[in-house]
Amino acid sequence: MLAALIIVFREIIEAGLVVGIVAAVTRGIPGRTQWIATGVLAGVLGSCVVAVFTGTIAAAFSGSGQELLNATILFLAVGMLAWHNIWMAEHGRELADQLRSVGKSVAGGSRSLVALAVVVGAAVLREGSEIVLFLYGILVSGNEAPASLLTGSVLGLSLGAVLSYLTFRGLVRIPPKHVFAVTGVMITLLAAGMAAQGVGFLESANVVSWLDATAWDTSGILSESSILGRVLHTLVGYMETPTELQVAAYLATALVITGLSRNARSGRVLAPSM
Amino acid sequence: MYGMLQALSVAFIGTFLTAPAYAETPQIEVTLKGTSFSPSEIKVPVGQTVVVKFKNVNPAPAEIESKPLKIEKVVPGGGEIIANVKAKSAGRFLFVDEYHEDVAKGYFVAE
Repeated sequence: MLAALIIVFREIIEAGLVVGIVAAVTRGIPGRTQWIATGVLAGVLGSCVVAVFTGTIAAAFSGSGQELLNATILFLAVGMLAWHNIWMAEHGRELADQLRSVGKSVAGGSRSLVALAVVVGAAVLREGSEIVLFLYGILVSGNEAPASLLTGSVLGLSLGAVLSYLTFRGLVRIPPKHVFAVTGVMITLLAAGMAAQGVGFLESANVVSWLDATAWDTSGILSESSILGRVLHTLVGYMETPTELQVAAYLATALVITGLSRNARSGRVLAPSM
Repeated sequence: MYGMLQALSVAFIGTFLTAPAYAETPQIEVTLKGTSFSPSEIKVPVGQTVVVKFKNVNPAPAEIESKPLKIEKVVPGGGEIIANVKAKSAGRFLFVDEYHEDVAKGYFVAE
């Protein structure tokens, strides 16, 4: 039971943290509960679809289908997070003002909500299919006590929900004046970590192979498979043995999002040339 | 912003469409039966990419994972996947079926 709990919880950490952060970030925007719920639901349904077609996906693109799918989902999430952060930079102040005057809603927030719902869906989808397959495996293998494993899995899922809630509670305790500055940094690091991870999948698929020397090895200090390692992996993109290209992707993403947000905050129009 | 996102997505899709063709055929085959891999020790050259085919003969899916060699792939029950394995230095590198990681273990031995 404990093994199942740990496996399911470990897979769900990323989605749990992302949902918590998104819930905190979208405070004060009308309709956000529906959007987040839609994102989660779409992610769960998508997980089931991906689980069913695991064999087909794995065989696609000369055997690199899984890596390319993961990379695509991650880069999509990075794009959405970047877009959201830039939007927040433009509208953060009015949002913070309106958060203080209870009951007022923020006009124009729904477009950013769509982006974040996609991010939530992507986070659930990525690890969700592994949980679906793990649960399916329990059912078909039948050599271990399925009841105990299912109990463990349900507990693991519940812990993920608790993690979402705690993340949310922790973030909303930040005073409105500072909350968007904090979540802005968090989302930037989240996106940078996802970009590095996406590059990792492209490397596994052998699509890119330059700058593939290991930048550092901290596996002896903090294992990426440990619970703390997983949490930091999601929050700040911690990796025990990143390649140089992954570090470069991380830094580039963080710099681009920060730069564009600054630009947006200072009121200048975004260059549409990209 | 829409234009930028569009351009980005086109760029990404383009990356995937030009994914290199794998001319080489899988050279090493590993079978997962129950919770044991055979062979459970696989010799690989240092600094060279080797294509390893993992066959899962169990009815239940498995997740082949090797943190040090950055492999993380799901294999459906009765299915197979290939993984690009590249050891950058000599050593013994653990791989597991993550769903049974305490018992289902194997090693890549790079020399």
